[in-house]
Amino acid sequence: MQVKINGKAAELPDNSSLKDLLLARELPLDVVIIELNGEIIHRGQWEALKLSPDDSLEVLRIISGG
Amino acid sequence: MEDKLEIGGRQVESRLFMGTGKFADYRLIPEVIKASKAQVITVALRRVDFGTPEENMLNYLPPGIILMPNTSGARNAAEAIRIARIARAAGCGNWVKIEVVSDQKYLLPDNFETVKAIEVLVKDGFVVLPYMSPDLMAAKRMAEAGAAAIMPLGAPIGTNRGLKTRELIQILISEINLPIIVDAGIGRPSEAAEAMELGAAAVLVNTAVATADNPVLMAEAFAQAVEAGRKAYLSGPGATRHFAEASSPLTGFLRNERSESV
Repeated sequence: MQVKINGKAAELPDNSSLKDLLLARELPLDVVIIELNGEIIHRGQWEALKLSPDDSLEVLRIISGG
Repeated sequence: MEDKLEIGGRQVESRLFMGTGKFADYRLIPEVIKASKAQVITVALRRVDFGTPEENMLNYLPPGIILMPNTSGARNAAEAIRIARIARAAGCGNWVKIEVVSDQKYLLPDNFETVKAIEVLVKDGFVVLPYMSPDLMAAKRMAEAGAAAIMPLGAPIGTNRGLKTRELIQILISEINLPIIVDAGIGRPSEAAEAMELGAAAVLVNTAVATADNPVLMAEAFAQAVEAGRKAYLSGPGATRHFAEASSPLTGFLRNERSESV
């Protein structure tokens, strides 16, 4: 299925959970912040949350700034 | 002498706020924060770059600080509100520096959109510190909307040009009953001291420290300048005058009133 991650189209296996995606991309789980279709998804929900075609994900993090 | 800064119901130990951007290496950040004695520390929120994994910068921040995420990248109120909420959900606490910029040349903040963002975020329980172009009416609207402090720029972000807006900041200090924190533009400790002597409650510095050859030493210099400027403000500087006034008494000179030959 196709979803959008940080504004770019991405292909994922059907029935992927949010956590599957983060692990597949080797993202540091303790760092990232997830917004799915404009809603913030808290850490505890990542494993149970199944992604659907055309979902739009923002994978964000805190960085240095002024 | 008791001289405490309180913002959003919280006592702030240092009047120097530090940004964490532009440092060549994250490992400098804890040393800089220690040397600056800063307690309020700004961070930003960005998309993860999948190509270049980075370390978690939050691991470099010491305990006991007040984290203040900014809304940099926001071009309007809605984007600023969204960023603030995400940062809070990420565990950054409820302080936020509103930064709404749509002008890419001078990066001057949009005071109108900033007021709109403050109104929403204050109702949502945030302690809101808006970065703004120094303007009295805009600052009044921000205060009415519930801002916890007002953060006018001294000069455009990252320019190290100093207190170019001095006269306007002075008006804010005199007319707005909130802490005025000079944010952006301060490039030298002497300029930080100048802002504090004017009566600013604090200054926020980033580029001046991060782009110094020795950022840790510069952070220490800023800490001393902010403290000196604050003490000077509290001590009530004497009046300026046009003509000279001798510092030593004008009587009892060791000389004769008329020259005499010997």
